[in-house]
Amino acid sequence: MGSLKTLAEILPGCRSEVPPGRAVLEVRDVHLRFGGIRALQGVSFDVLQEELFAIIGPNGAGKSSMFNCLSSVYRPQDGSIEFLGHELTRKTPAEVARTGVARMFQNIALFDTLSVLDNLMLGRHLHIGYGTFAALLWRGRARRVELRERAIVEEIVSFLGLGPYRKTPVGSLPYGVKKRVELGRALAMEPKLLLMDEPVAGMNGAETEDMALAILDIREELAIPIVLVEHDMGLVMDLADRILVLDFGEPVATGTPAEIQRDPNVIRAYLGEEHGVAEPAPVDGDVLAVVER
Amino acid sequence: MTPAVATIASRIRDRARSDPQGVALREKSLGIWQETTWARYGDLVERTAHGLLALGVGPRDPVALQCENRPEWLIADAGAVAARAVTAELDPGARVLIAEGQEQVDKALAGKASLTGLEWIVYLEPRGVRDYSEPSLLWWPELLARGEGHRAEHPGLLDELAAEVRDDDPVTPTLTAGDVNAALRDQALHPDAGPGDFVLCHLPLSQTAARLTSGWLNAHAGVQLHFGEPAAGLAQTLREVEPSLFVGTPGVWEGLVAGDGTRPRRLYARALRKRLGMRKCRSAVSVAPLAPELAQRYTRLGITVRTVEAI
Repeated sequence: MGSLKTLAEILPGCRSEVPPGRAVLEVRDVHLRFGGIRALQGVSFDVLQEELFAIIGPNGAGKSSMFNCLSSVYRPQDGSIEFLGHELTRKTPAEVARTGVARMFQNIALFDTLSVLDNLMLGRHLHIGYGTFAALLWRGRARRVELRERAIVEEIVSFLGLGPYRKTPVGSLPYGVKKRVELGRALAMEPKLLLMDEPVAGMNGAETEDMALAILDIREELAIPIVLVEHDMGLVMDLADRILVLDFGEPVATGTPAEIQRDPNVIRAYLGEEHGVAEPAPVDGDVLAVVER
Repeated sequence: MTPAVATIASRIRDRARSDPQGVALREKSLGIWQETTWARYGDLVERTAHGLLALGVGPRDPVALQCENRPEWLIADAGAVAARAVTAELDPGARVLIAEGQEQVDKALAGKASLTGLEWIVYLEPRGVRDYSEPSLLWWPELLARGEGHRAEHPGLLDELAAEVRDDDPVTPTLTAGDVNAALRDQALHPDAGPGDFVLCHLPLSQTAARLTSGWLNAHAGVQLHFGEPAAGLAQTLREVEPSLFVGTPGVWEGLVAGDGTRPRRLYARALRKRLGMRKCRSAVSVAPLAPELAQRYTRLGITVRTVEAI
């Protein structure tokens, strides 16, 4: 029999006391400059509890810059990012992780020579605490904690269908599987907020569908807020509750998928000036999906 | 009174009484091989049978079963037989469908208009289905719980039903209880199978040959049946289980050595057998003839693959 536990039972640390509909993450007027290049100019948004919030925009719009600010890889020159009462802009990436923010990278950032299990166990690092001496003896606390953590990792392995690859070095796995391992490691951290940077970039149809299903299951069982940066418009329009559109580092619009598809500024950002509001609005509003394909 | 005809369900019940702590099934779950004893297997079959009876399944009613090879398949199958019902894959007249998970549930709900008799959908995997509000849905443990209640109210009912079984009772859409008994009696696949044997449940259970060599053989001869992880390949499961009896289709036999370009020599045969997970295999069978080169290849490894028609 597969696992009968829900993800919320397996990963109790994902719970935060914020009620649904209230802001978990508050981004206020963030400015980021690299020398003369203005990567982000006055970006503000809220991510609500249990919400799937997507950030989209043409290439170079500042999506990944925004993302890197959220995980404190970049430090914005101006503005604030507050997560559950913590100001993230003044923290190191490790401290951000400790507040409950887990990140899945666009360019896979796993340990290639380690097995899938070891990579996932590393995700549990924050929750493992025992001394070197205990670890050397493999007795008492060390053994107990490792077994407990391994059981949690096994549940994640089962959830993501990684069973056959447990002992395989990550470097030799296909791309789609690596992405799942990447997601698994982020989940293993028991995040209160999950950041996903282009989770389906470069994936084929079946892999994209698997990832979409995994995201839906995570939402249903874990009910944590997710921030998603993605190029696949079909996925974003299907999954997101709200979308922020960036263009040249500036916020263009924020709204539900339906609102975004009809927004004249968004259409202009994606199709260029000459296609602006003068054009008749598309009937089904699916213009973005068409553009992306 | 004529003596009752043995069924898969009655055989499991007998083993649960004579060898309660013996291992009936092994399943890899969360990375660990979990054992199911005959006592537990028998109890699960009983609860399933009572559960089906509680849902209104009666003699000769079809029970639809759509799931992967997993212990619940056998439990549901034997439970249906114990309730004197007929296991089918998808019968439009079935009152109960036992489905793997969300995918099968969605399909059944979408096709509900043509499944006129369908009243209950029992699902095994709760992921994605938990929040469905469809009243006809029942989670597997809930079926077992209903079965437990029904058993408490009707103790001895299954024994009464078992005593009524006749040779011409259908147990599948095409086979009767008598056919199954004849197939088990005459089977030449593994004639000397016994409780010490390890067997892999890997062929699709919708095929009669697969059922004969896994679930039925398990109940009949007491072999220990193994279910690998769903996503793991056959090759990996074979290496872990090292079965003593193995049945494959020609495609399976071909697949096991596909991509292995080394021309086996007698010197390496032992190591190669171990790599295939065939070290302990004392009875290797194909249900249809192998190509001569393929058969020869296995012979060189020291594995004689016999061809036996299943039924």
